[in-house]
Amino acid sequence: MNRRSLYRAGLLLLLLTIITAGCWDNKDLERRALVLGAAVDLAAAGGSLVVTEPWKITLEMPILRRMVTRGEGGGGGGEGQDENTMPTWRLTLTGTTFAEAINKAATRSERTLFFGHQKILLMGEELARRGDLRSVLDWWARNRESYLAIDVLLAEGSAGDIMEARPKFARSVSLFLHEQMQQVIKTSRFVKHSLAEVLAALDAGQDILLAGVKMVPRQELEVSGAGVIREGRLAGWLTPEETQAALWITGETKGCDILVVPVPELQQTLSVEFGKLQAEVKPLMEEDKLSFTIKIKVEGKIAEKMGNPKLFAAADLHQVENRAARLMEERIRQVLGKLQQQYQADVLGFGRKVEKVRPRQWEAMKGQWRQIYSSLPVTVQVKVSIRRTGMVS
Amino acid sequence: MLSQERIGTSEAFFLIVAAMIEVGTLTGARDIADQVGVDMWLVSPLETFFSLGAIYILTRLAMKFPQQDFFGFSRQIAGRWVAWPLSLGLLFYWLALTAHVTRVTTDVIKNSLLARTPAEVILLSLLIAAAYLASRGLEPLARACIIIIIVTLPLIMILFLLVLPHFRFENFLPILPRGPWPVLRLAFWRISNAEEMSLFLILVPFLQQPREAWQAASRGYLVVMVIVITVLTTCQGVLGIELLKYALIPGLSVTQLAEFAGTFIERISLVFISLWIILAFPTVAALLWASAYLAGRLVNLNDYRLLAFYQLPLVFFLARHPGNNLEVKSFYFFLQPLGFAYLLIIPAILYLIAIIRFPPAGSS
Repeated sequence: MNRRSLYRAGLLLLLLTIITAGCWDNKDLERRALVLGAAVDLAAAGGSLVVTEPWKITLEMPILRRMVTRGEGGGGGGEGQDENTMPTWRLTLTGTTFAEAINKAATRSERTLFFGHQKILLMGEELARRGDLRSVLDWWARNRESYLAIDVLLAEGSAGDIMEARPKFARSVSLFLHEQMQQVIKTSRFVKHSLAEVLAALDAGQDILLAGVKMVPRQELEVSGAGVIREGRLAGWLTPEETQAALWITGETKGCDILVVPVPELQQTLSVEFGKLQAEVKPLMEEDKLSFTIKIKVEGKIAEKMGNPKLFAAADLHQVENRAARLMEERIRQVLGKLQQQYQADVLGFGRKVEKVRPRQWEAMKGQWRQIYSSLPVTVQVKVSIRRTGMVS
Repeated sequence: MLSQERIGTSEAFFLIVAAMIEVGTLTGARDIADQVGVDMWLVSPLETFFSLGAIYILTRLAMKFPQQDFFGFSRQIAGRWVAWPLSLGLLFYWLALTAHVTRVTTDVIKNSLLARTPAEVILLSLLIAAAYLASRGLEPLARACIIIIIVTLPLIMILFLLVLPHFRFENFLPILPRGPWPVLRLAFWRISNAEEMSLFLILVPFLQQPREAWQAASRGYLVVMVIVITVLTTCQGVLGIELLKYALIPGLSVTQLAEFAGTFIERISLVFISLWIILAFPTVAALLWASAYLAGRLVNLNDYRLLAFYQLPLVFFLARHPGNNLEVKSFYFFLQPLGFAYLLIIPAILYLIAIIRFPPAGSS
């Protein structure tokens, strides 16, 4: 390398050193407050949207030194924990928009809020009933730190109150809810939907189910049931059993559900544990009349038997299968009735099925879809196959 | 052309792969979704066929004059008065393309990684680093492309595969609800999206085996399209068409859903975007090199390489001009028609004239 090239390289290095050495975005971990979860509500009791600051947000952030040296009580919010020993800080803010409310944190926290580790977003019942969820979620969709994978849940009552719970094992409410959502592989009594899925549904004008959370005695939490979101607002709730039936239809269930099947012929009550479940939802068009067929195939095993101690024969299992299938059909019809007539909410994606399979017919009927949907004839066929009886006959 | 600037066919292959993959690949899904909706996934495979046809004509034209670049053979085919404006247009196209790529890359970096760092600093760092690479000449540039591709591309594709559990086939239905024409029209028009293939208008004389230009170009393009199709299809399969229209950087949004059991890195998408940004350097460097070379040819400068630096003020100005990220598309509206002209129309016309004026030896 000759002298001239050396000068040039040196100059370039100097220039790059000047413009790249000080990183504008450098922020030490000690100067960040990691937001684990956010609970959003309407600020005013009664939920008026015309007040100056209609939105309220409660942010849960870990106090890392308490997280590390947590007491004998075990979990973050375990019994005996009070505000002074809780390993999390819950900061409640209000604003005309969520961006403004969150920005106000700069007046209450010496650390910069960081949303990159947010696990859950919990929405209050009143907010979900009255506010447009697409607008509520806009800040999270737009914010570069937020992740589309965060779980979205609905609180029965105020979401901020849920943040006051004391989970027994988890160190914070947000971590509890995040871990709890992983239990969806064990039960379909609630539904797990990420922010990406919720945004996709809302953008497409589709209805969707969101997991419900409620406080139970002793400041504990229960995640079960589902909120029915119709046209971007909460229309009502499904019970845990109805949620199960809804997820059987959508095929979102991961198995492991327990179905309690009374079989009077055998004088027994059996618990059938689901394994594989296959759901097929088909729109049928006959003489311009739309109807749907739902076919569900379930494989399962006997998890428990109560009542008559008589040993199982192969014919007995057929009786159990038939009873289980009829029971499932009944529960599916019940939830269909509720969704079609009471809520008129197409959370099971029937309209989407028509759009995908019969796009031309869909174009003609999408304007009146709610009316068509509410009186849509649906045929339900369930086939249950019991493969095993557990470790005993 | 400098005597030491010769590259092999495989180096040309890596150069074209590295030059063609840039941040636009991550943002492109949105544009296609806007135009054809749910049939987005059909556009890129069809576009591959159409573009291969255009690339064939382009490389055949260049291979007909293996010792000459675009300025040289267009002057020979159509005369000086045509060659000059055509070459000036090509020079402007490459400079504007460089500005567009750097602007989009800067916006992606600002949106995803460095929100507080001034855009000018990101832009300038990117441009200076790329100009430095370009000023070293074609051979070092090609070697850098090989290293960058081998290091980044496999990692990127592995990271992208992590989102496959979120893939839903129903996001691809219904098929052709508005008939095939919108898809075919867009796929044909998107020949202009193979922008960096225009490098072959000057690259052939630099090849050790000029006869293998088509081989390097077609293979490079096919590899790029495999990656593009993977990215676009995954975006649609995971996000669905409505969210795709809404997301500013769908490729990044998709990777936010990636879960990798056992990893200590929670924000995998940032690793992904960081790797992808590295791929923007060869694109900018290759375009700066090409425009410097062509500018050197026009002013009859033998050692053209430092022109890569002298072009930077214009590129910087063009890149900074759009006031916000939504204005970028409208400001660079001319890139697509120019690309279409330089990738298909001009090569086709020149090739036709060349066949008539310079028939292959032995033909009557």
